[in-house]
Amino acid sequence: MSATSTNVALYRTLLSATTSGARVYGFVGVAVVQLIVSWMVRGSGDRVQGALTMIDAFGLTLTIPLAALVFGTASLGDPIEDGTYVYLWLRPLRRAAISAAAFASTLTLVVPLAVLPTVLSALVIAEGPRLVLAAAVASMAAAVAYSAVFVLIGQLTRRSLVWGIAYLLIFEQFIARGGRGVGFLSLHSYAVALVQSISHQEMRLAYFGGVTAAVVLATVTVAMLAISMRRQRSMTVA
Amino acid sequence: MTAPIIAFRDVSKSFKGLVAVSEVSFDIGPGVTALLGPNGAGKSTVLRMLVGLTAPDRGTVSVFGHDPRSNTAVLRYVGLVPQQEGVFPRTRAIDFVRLAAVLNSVDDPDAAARMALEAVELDPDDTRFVDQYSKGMRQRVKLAQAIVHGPSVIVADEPLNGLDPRQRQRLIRIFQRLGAEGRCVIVSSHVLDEVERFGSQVLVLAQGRLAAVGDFRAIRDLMDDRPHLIRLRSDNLRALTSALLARGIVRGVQFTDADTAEVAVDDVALFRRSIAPAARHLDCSLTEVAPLDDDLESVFRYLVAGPGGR
Repeated sequence: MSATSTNVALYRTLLSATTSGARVYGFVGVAVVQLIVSWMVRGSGDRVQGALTMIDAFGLTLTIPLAALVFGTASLGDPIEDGTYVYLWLRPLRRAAISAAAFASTLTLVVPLAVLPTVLSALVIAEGPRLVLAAAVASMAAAVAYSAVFVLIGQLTRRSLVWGIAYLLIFEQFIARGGRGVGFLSLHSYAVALVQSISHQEMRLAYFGGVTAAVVLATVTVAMLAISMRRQRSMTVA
Repeated sequence: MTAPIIAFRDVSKSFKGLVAVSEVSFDIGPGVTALLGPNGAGKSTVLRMLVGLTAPDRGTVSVFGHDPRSNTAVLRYVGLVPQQEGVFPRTRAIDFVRLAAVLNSVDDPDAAARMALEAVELDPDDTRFVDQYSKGMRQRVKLAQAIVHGPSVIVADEPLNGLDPRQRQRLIRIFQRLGAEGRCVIVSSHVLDEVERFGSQVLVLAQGRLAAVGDFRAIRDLMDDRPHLIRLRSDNLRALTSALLARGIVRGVQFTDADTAEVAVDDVALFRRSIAPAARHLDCSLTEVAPLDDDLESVFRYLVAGPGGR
């Protein structure tokens, strides 16, 4: 058996364990609403502003971080919680592969359920390709960074959902909106900065330039995954 | 002298200041070894350290001379049947066991999974999900995933818990067969009779310490030889206890009521043989003879404290 087979088995197991009907149907429902609202916005007033609002308020603020939170924390958190993690961890394999598989399985769900609807929403409303490109790049970058953060939180704490919601609702929605001083700790502000940089449209809460935003989001992703992989070696498994 | 398969050296482990395992040392070789102890004695902690799920605070644990926690390669030779019930949701037994085979890099995982399920007397073609199985069947699925890669060390944490007698007998037979194949099988239990049926080496753990090590018969003798406390009730209790004291059958008497006393007995077999004839000889009726410390907890307490520690 090759390492690839092992990694694929890990990925499929974590994906299957994370994919519950209720979670998936919930996000499908939100995506449908997102597209219906987009259709309505398309026929009313300023389409550029409407598209930016939908990308930010629906995608980058709501569905992408929430999907990453739900599926990311569950990817390792659920098996750790229900005791099945031991069947993955106690094997003669590189334990970093478990974190990589959890990250990949999270993205497998977040991309079609949250990133794709956001891009489609931009496609429905926007008149040119620039806004669609901005939506695609920013949504994908946000999904990757949020997923890495929430996979790690799911691994480190048993109350990952509570911590994640606290971060999204309290920090990102209230504290981080207070200005650049605290905004630098908000992934949302970097994602919005990417939209602004690519679309050349001014966005609220976009404190940083496009390059800075891309570098920070990439760095956060790599750092969170590295911590998760390292933590695999020292963690105590129930 | 051959090196032990498993070696614990002065191993200690605490959780939030509570000592779970204290300065435990032992070696384990091939065959079935039972880890016996009451609930909370530290059995699961010992087993979890043995397979590397948690690290000892002090001391060393080795499997085939390697630390199972840092050297994941040694896990190729280890299979664990964990205590927890959970298996992956919506999973058939064959898929669950096949996953274990793949993650252990077994060459032909499909064939290995079928063989492992047949070895534990389960049908590989059963289409039900594992969470629809009975508890006994789930335990055997867990055992199948532990043996699918042909490990030399098989560790099972309370595998007989909650099983009916027929299922227990079946699992015990499987463990005995694995031990007879020359594998090192370690099974924990808090039930003395279960351990007796393994007919194995025994490690007795109590209050986080190793209380006794050896062949099961030696441990059983040790347990029978300890002083026992027995409650007697009779209509002529003073005469009866005086006679027993005079003949050295009991070594202490404490009256708790006019017709009730607790007697300390060193040789419980001699006491059993002597009590009825003594009562008959004195023409008194004997209305109660009840052991007060025959539960496992007191047996383990005695083994920890030793003969002078009561």
